[in-house]
Amino acid sequence: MSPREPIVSPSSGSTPMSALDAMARRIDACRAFAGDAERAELAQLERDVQLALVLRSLDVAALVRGTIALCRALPVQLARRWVGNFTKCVVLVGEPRKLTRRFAFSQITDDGGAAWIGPASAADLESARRLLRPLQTRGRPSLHDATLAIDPPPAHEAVAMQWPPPAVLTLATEDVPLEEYLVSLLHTVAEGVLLGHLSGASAVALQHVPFIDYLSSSMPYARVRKGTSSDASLRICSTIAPHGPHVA
Amino acid sequence: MLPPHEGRGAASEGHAAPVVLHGSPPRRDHRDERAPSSLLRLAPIPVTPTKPLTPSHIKGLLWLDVLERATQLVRPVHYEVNRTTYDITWQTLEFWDWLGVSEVPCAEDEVSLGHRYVDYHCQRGEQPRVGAELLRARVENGYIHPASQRILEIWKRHYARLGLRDPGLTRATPLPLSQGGALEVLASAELLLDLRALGGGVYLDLTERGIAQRTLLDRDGRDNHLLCTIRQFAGLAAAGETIALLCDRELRHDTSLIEHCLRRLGGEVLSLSLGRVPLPEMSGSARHGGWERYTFDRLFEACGGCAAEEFRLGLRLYFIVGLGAGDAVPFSFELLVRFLKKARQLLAEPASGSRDAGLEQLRRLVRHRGFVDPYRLASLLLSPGPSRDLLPLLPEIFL
Repeated sequence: MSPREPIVSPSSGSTPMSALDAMARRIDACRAFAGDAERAELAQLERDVQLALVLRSLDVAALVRGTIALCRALPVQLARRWVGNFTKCVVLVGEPRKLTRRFAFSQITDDGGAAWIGPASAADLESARRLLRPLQTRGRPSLHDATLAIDPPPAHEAVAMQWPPPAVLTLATEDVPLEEYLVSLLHTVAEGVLLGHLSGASAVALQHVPFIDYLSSSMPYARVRKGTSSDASLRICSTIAPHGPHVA
Repeated sequence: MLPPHEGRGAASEGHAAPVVLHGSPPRRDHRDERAPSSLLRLAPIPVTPTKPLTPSHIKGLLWLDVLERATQLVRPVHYEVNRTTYDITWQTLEFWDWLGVSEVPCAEDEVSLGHRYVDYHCQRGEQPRVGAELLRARVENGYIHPASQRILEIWKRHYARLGLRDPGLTRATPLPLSQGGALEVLASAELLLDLRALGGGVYLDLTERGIAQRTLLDRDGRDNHLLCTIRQFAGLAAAGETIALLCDRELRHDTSLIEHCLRRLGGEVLSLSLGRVPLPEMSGSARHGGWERYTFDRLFEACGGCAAEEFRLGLRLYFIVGLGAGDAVPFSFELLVRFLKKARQLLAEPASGSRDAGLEQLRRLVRHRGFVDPYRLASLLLSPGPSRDLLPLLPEIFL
């Protein structure tokens, strides 16, 4: 995610990794964007910590589960740095089975169709970027709604739970190429966990809609992006909500 | 300036880079001192008939000719040639489609048609031409655009002057494997990453060996020359045949990928890459122009007055030894003339050596690399001593 695509996140309450602290760093970075020195600092941040998803086949439910598990296992300092870098991620194509000796995967799905590298410094991901191509698609495969049970959170996260499970994760799909959809999914799930919005959920209801044109004050998280070159208005990519669908 | 071989020992590397062989040489038992006797299939990447023959093309043709003729004296060789393999590449198809639209008269000469090719590359847009899609099926079954047909007719005359055997310039047969069939073969050998179910492309996947993925089919379903070549040769590799890939050095990376594939499929694979000949007015590919002073006709005129045999031998010695396998030495008419003079001297010498001894030298060269390396052979010929035994073989290899 670029600084031009800020997350709307009226986060509140304590979380295991101090979401406020991480958000504060991001906000500072955005504020500093106008100055040369600050721009350099931001550029350094952007170069810093990233996540790479290596994809051979698509199982969205497995991707959500894997990303949640990965985020829950992150050391706090690393998680802070990643959030401070806007949870930057890249989707590469590859056969994880062929790459296990070459890369230390953070997570790998049960069927081996996807694996995660990092979050790690951009330099550490350079060899993966050189070896594997970025996902580029035409059209989009069918995306199915699902309710996913996820592993129970650690006890201290459960304490911070802010609404009863399940959380509803809604993603817009119209005119969204698969590669953009996956980046949006990774950002949303990762920030949902790391900023506390999914911490307490024992299940995630995954919902796909053509457009999201409704925001509620009860939604703690929404991700927006700029539209196409012909329509530069902001579009909502995803939301996290505590209850059922909030989509008109 | 002295030609690089003079005053040096046999097979001296001179300033010209030696032949670059990728991968391992043919596996043979160290105790086996015999030259390999199995059939060697020569698989050059052909010049597409869309522009004039320039020195880079002539160099490739002469190297290949000497390699084939010398090797087949001591090892069976089959020249694999099928125009279809490269006529179906999108670069050629789109040019032909563009020509069709432009209604180019096909009685034009090689240079005029070459200028059309340059014009096309100046004008081509980012978007694929729909007409090329329609043309593809016809070309898969042997169609050739009249402009390229015309160029091939002109090239046949050039071949005759160069003393090159026509390996089948106009031969076009459907490729042994369909696109789907080739992808299946690659998938079964675990060489493929297929993202079509996600709307993505298909990639050659050698990542376990640390080799970067290479697109075979893009997300729009368009293939590239790699897949076309694999369609042509995968069957031979699976049958355990020995294949020698010969390519332009600009394509060395892709050729190396093809080599990996064919080897994985069971073939024994050799490869040889040749650098292009730098021209003063030309940078990069023939598609950018700049070759007008260096076409075959200009080159022939520059050698005006020399006998046919002198022309053939002199050109071979110049393009093989004078320019070498690399791309560091620019084309020079002056140096070419010196090699023509050397050729005249060699042709005047009595062929007093032993033909059998000459053949034994060829066997030694084949033992070394699986085929006769033209640079080493031509260097030997220009050296004193044992080169006399090669003189009886001159007509069979160099004329």
